Amino acid sequence: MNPVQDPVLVVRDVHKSFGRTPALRGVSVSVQRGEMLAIMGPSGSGKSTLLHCMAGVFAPDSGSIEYVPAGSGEAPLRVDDLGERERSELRLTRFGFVFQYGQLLPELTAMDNVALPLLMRGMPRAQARERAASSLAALDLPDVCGSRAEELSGGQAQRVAVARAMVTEPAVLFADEPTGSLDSLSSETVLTLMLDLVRSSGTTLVMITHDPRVAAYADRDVMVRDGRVGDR
Amino acid sequence: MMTARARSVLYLTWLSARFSVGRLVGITVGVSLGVTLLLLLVGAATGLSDRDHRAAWLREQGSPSVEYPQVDAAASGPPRVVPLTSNTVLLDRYTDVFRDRTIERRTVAATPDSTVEIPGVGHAPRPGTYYASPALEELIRTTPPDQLGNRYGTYAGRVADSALAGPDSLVIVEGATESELRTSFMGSAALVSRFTGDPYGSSAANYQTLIAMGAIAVLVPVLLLIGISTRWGETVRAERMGVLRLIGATPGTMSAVAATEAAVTALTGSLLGVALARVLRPVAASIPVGETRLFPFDLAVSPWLTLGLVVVITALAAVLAAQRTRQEGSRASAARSAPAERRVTIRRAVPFVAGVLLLAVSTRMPRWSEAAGSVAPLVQITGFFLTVWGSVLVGPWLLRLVSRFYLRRAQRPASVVAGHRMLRRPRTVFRAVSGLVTAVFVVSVFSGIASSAVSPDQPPEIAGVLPPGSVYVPLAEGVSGARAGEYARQAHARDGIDSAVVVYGTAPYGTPESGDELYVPSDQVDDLGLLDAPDTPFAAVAGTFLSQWNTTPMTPETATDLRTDSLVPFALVLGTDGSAAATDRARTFLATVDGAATPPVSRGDLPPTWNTRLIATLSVLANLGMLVALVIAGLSLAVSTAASILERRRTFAMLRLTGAPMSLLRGIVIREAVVPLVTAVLASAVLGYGVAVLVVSTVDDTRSVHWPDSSYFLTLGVGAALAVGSVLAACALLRQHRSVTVTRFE
Repeated sequence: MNPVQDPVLVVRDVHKSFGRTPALRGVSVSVQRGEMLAIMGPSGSGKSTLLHCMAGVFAPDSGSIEYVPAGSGEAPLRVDDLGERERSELRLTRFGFVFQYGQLLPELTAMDNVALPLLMRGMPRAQARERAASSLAALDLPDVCGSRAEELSGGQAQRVAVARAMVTEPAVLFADEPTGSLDSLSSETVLTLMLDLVRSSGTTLVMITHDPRVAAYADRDVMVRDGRVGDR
Repeated sequence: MMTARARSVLYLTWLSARFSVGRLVGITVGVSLGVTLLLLLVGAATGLSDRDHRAAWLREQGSPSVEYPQVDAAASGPPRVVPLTSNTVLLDRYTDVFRDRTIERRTVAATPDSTVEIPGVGHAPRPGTYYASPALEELIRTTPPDQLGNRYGTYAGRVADSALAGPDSLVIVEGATESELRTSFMGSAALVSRFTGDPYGSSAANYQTLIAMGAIAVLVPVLLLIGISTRWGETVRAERMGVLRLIGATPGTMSAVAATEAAVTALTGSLLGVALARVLRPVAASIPVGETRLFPFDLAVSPWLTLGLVVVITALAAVLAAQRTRQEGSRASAARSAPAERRVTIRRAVPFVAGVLLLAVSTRMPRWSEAAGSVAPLVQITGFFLTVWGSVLVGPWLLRLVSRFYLRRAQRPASVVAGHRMLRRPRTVFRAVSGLVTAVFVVSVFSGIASSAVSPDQPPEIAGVLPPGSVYVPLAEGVSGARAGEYARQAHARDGIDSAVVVYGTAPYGTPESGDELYVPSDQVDDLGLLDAPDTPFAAVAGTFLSQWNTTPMTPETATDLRTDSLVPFALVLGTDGSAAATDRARTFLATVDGAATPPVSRGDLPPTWNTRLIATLSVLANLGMLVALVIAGLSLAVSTAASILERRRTFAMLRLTGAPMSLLRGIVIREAVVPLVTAVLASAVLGYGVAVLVVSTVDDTRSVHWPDSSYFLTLGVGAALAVGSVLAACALLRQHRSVTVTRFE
């Protein structure tokens, strides 16, 4: 991997405030294609805000965020210049998300939870369910297809969430404390499965974590403190 | 001195409340609207009852407590005229007609020292004078005298409100001499010693049954609104409580906090509701029930009852909140989602089926025995209540069936999400439309019943039948042909009166010898609406030709072997141009004819004098029920939709984060409202019409339910528009609560 030559996300001098409270103060960071980047930092340091800006959830107050599609056919996209609709489209088609907990729709079965992003992209339901079943099997969850989210254990629910995030084969997977609510054994299982999947598919991973053991799985980590990025 | 625990409860309540201002305002508004409607409803129920008692003395089907015949036929020997004394008055009752309204006309003769009190008037008016209700007084003042005022004598005063059903009541009490009443109108006057205060007599049961049904129809949505309002933001509240518990509050303290919060909110809402009901009383009183509006004082509720209601609602809210908090006690974590619902089963259909069975049984009860018939109304009311409540209970089960089918066919993501939620949480989803279920059910029941009523339109013109614009009076014995002719000539000279025909008989009207056949000068046959006049000077026609009820075309026949010198004037028939003014001019002229055996009669009188009170009341109750239930249904739907959005803001924010467009979120919310809505509307309409068939067959088994008229579909349209408007209004919350921060911090 050559991190200099193939960036997928380039963040330049991004500022973001909530009211009078500054969250990011001139952050610049570049994420290479296929890289696993861990973002660390204490609570309130701005790491989640950075992730949300990178993913096009928040529009920064100033600075730029560029998403560079794979191959030479598509021009880079200025995420910060996109309207809300376009940013939604970008998240749906290029990005995947995994959070700490409670991200599954409780009334849906595991299979429909995983199939949902495919349905949102216009795939017929039968085909989407087929893909979802494969995705669940890849995460060692073939038996929970018909179970509702509220019937799953924490570890299972996180694995279903990973399956849902990866089923669309995203270019970038954003994970915000993906194992933060799990015990160490479940945490290990989820992390291993997620990273295997990410590596095998060549997906870029941007992961927030407090845990140095989790960060150790990453290719690189950056530390966010008081809204600025620095070395660990 | 306040204990430390009480202080901590108050402090925790304040802490909890300050983060939930919107939720508490929502509950307060919901409770205040519910209390307002409840108070107006209670006021209307007592007001209608008071009104019936006030107007009881006017009701012809009532039973005056003492009513003597004028002639004592039971005494031995020849019939003896019962004399008029100071303890009795001679009273003649008659329903007059003006335009399409009826005037309760009472003519009274009393001795100078009479002690009988005429309601609203006092002592009987002097002969030739009258007392009128304010509405009639105004009508007489604003109408040309030859159309109304000339029917009566000299104005003497006003009938007091205490003897009137409402401000629109048309009532006149006239004074007459004893001899006038002994001889007038076939001696139909009665001797009365006291006017009754008991309303309705035999029709009371049906009438009160309908009022009770109307009350249930309004009350159920009101209770639903209060219930839905107090559940506003239930999850948010549970989460706040969970946090407080985590920091060490005991279950008892938490219950006390919840009870205090609920009590303060309910008390504030109730007091606002009391004030709002007071303000809206004149508006509510302006809605006509039957032929008149209510007086605003009719809707007043006693202070003690109001106080009791406020106390009960406040206490109930506190107890329920404390109980709910105790049940949620195990959910200490603020992070958990709402618990799974218990599976709904077909057992929820039991109350509805029981209600329908009771209604069905109640239709047969009067045929079993008198005792069974007397309890039939109670059975019917219970059955109606069970069907209304049962239709709300059975909804989630029906929704579960429908959503299973819906989910199987779902392709779009919004359909899949909505279908799953409806399948897993049918109670929660259906609660949003439960108000509308009641509204549609009640509207269907009442529309079905109203469709059974005889049309109050003007009777049609039928060739061979007396035109509805013609008015006639039978002539009493002693009216000569010359006098009758003079009356005809005078009448014909008036505006709008196109013809005046003297109809003859072989004996005067009302005598035993008066035959079944009447005779009309052949050249005037056309004026009576008859066709094919014979060549002879007189045409013969059946006596029933003059009947108000006749709709059978008749053909005049040749009057052979008729001795014209033996004919006597039988009736004077005036034909008009059909205009209301001309008809009332003819009626007024005939009312003043000396020798009229009865008041003027017309086929056109049928609509206003037809005993449609029951149906009219039903129609008003239906309109009231519809209006209230639809408004509440709209509010309930908006509140429930808003609550469902607030409680799932994390889910929606997460969907937005993963790239779901706003249209998808809107699609989910709209589908979750529309599918239960369509299920509810269709099921309620069918069930409601079924119940209408049962009710109609109980009230009058000669009537049948017909296809609903356009107002029914209009009402459903208004309901649907309200529902869609409510959901769209609530969808605005989606924009406010889509922030992705909730995916981390909630």
